[in-house]
Amino acid sequence: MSLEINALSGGYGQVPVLHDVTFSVPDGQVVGLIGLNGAGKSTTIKHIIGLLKPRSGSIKVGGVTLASDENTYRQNLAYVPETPVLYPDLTLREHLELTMMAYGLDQKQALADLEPMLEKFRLQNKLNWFPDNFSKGMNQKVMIASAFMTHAKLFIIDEPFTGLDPLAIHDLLDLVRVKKAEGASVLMSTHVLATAETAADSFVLLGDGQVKATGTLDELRAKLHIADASLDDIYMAMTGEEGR
Amino acid sequence: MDKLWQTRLRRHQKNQAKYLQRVFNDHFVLVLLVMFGALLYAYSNFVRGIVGRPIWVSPVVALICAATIPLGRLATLFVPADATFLLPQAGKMRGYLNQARRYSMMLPAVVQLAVSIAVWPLMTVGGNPNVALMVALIILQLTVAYANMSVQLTSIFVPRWSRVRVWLVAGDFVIVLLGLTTWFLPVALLGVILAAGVTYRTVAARNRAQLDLLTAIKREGARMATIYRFYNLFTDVPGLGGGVRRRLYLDFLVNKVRPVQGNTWMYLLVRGLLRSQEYFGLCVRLIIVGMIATWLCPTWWLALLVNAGFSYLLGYQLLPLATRYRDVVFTHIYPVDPALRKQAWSKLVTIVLLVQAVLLGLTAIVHVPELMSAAALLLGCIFVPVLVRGYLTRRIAD
Repeated sequence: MSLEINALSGGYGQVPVLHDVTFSVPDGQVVGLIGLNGAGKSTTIKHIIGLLKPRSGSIKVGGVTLASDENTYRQNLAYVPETPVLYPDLTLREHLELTMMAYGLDQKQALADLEPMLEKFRLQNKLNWFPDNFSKGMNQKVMIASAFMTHAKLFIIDEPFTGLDPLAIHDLLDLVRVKKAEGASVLMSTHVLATAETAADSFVLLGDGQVKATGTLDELRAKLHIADASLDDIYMAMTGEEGR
Repeated sequence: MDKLWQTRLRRHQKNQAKYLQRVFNDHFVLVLLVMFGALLYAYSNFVRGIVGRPIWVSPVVALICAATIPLGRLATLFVPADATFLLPQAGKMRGYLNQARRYSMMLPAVVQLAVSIAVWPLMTVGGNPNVALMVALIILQLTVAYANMSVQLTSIFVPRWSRVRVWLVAGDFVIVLLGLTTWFLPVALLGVILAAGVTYRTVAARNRAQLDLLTAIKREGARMATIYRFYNLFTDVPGLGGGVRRRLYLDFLVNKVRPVQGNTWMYLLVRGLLRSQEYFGLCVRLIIVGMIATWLCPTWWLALLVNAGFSYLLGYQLLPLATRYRDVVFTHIYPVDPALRKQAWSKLVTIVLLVQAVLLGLTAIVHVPELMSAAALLLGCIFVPVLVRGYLTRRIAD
């Protein structure tokens, strides 16, 4: 298992946002984390990457918790945030170098691996630019490139389909497929259900800080007794139930 | 419109107070007080040393008085959006602008009062220290300053009135010089009447013309930019100078950090230090000021004290560099020991402070070339790691 979340409760300060969240991401799988605004997607991700501490329950990445082996935990994890935040004092090239250093990658090898990715994202002639001069999409591509050059076992992508142009989304999904083939797994949160439906192997549906349903598209269809339903239909049916 | 001025003024003052608090921090006030005291002392010694009444005294006094007239600009507190939103009201802005002129007069009034009192010992040197002269000078200077402000106000109605400001300065010089070399009181009275006449004429000129809102907004923008540039010397003003420069010529320093995992934070911090306007500017400024201060020290131990003091000042002001990247999520999720972050900061700051200590120490050796100055340089360098490890690193917020 790349990621195992067991009975996780937590949130910001005194207010618990997540209640007893349990799900897992098996090796070589792409899992979509689906939910309305405020359902707890970002909070869940913040717990996984260690920005928030669980109130109870546990999170294991590659079999270890943050408390038991911080270095292995972090080494196995790469993250692409929803809002791109870069270091204002580093050029694009230096951002990539910094990530190589932080993950202890071989610089030469990593640069060679990066080459096709930079070309795909049309970044190779902007290596000496500062983030101040980047567009929002470029920022996001830099983050994706930094994350995907690591040898992490688990990739967490927060809202990957907002802010990227269709070509970039296509390229990102290509990268995801490559990593998946290498045995890594991906957890991505999103509202863009149509893309998630084709990109993810299975889904975790969150609502009010609880896991409402998990499973592949077929399993979800069976659960809600709607044959041939799209993810969109399932999602609407679920949120409709909430409302009632 | 009166209410608009009141709300603008309140917002402006609140904003200024915020910056002034940062500019006049405890260290700076202390330095200013010492400098002010030293200046007064030097001035009183200077005046006492003058024998008789040298020929240059009157022109110098006249020059000082005239040169201070342009100080103090009209603060209209206009903002760019006014060009759209206040345009329908442009004809009814007179009350607003009169209040603006009254507020703007505060600074020149204080300056003229201070200058008149300050030049009084000089203007009466070798004669009888007549208080009436000081009072006459104060009245003259205030009237001319008010005329200057009125002319500035008029020039946003009729731009060519700007030229009158030069005549005011020249006129003030002539009147003061003439007064000092003949009979001061009648000549000063003449000057007051002339300045009041100019002020009176501006009223008529404004009444015949329309407010040039665009020019007024442009001038106010330039005025605020000057003020913010001044504040930026002491503190970080948002949207001004807080940026990042590539500084390719410093890359030889940046490249000294070997790209291995343990150096991750050092790699980041050294770039932050050398490329951000904020921290790089701070280092350059403080080192230059420190070298000047060291040059003024007549003894080795005073130079050592200054050296240690500047190590503390610079080190303390570099503390926020340690938390500069707190908002970047990667700082928290990289698989690098967070404890290394403080270590990297302390290593980098030690190097910076050592550079400063050596430069200040060398300045002292050049100025006071004795063996003890060399010892002071050594002691100044030894103090740096003690300061950084023993005190500063503990003050970094987690």
